[in-house]
Amino acid sequence: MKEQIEDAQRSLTKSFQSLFTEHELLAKVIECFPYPIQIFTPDGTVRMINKAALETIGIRSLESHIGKYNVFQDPIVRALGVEDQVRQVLTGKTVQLTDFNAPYQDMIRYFNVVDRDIQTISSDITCFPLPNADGEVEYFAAVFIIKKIYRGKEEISRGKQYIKDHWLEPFDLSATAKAACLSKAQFAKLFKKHTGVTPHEYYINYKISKLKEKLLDTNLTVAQAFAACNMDYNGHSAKLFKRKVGVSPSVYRKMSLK
Amino acid sequence: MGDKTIEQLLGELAEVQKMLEERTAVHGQMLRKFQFLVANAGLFSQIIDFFPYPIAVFTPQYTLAMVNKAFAAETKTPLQNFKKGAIRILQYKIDDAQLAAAFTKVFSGDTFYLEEVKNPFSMFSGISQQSAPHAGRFSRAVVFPVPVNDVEITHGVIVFMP
Repeated sequence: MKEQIEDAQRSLTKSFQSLFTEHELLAKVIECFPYPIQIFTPDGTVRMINKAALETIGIRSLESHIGKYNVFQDPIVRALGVEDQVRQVLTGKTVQLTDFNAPYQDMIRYFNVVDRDIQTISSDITCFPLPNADGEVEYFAAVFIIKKIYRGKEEISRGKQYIKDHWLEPFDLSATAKAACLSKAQFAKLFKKHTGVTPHEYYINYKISKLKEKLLDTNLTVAQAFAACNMDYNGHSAKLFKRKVGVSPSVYRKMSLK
Repeated sequence: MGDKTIEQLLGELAEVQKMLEERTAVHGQMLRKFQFLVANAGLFSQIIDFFPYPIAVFTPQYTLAMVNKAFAAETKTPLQNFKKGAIRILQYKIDDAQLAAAFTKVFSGDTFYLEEVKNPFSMFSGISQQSAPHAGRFSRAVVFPVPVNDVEITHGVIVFMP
């Protein structure tokens, strides 16, 4: 009897180990996949996610997400107008969403993800159906091929640096945004949000600060100080200076040199 | 009872109890892991099988442990030809330097994101052709490690992407 039990135990253990190894490998491939994967039931509720999804998206815990998040009720998905495209996966099609730019602040607002210095997560998403043996879509998967994670401060710093390096040249929003690795629209929006001023205003303010330095140099006339900043000394630029500083260039010089 | 005092015996009993509790915790953890694997076994297979991009799982000896349907389709090779160990990665046939480096270093735990991969399917033994009309469409690849027992890296995975 004892031997029979031991044999049964050995056999069971062996079977379990064999099953365990094969499924464990499959599970690990998905878990270790370096891009986020989310698996959904046909009603859009998330059923499983991998480690990269937790870490990249900033989901606080499996419990806060599994069975709770629903892609068809996601306001970001709706706002980006891709809900219908995603639904096509339920007809058995593989769906590609390119340049899915999810604003991270909205993700924090709606889903209580980890608060990090991220502005936008840009990814290409492949949604594909997971049919059962009868060919019915039992689940569907979404793989997020992350293209870029825009971290606000870094991008803004690069933009600011570009303006500082090119303040003598005419303002060029395209080139500044390119230096920050953002589109013009994204950069302008992000810049204003972080600094409170538009990139052009920042450029003007920086230029005026340089002009103020030049005005303190008594070897230069006021016009020469303007010229040194690649500005014409005319009514428009003088007005601009007065609007920004509160006094005219010549008054500023007199006041500063007292 | 011998020479042991009641305090000593209680101490030993506490140690045995602690050991049993630790063992129970380990068993519980294994049981939960196993239950999770059993509950999702079909799902794991589905994800890999229906993944729209070719996936190959390989061992440190460069034999293929597993491929998915997209891989078989792309290489025009029946899935049954990929039985464990039947197909190998032939290192001498890797004509892409970044791929060669990735296959070696993946077992040190590094992940590689490769662009403009050249002839990625030519390095497998037993594969004579790639889907000709689409040759070159999978020019990106990611190679990543899989530590099955959480310590040792037992497999590497390559996923080809458009």
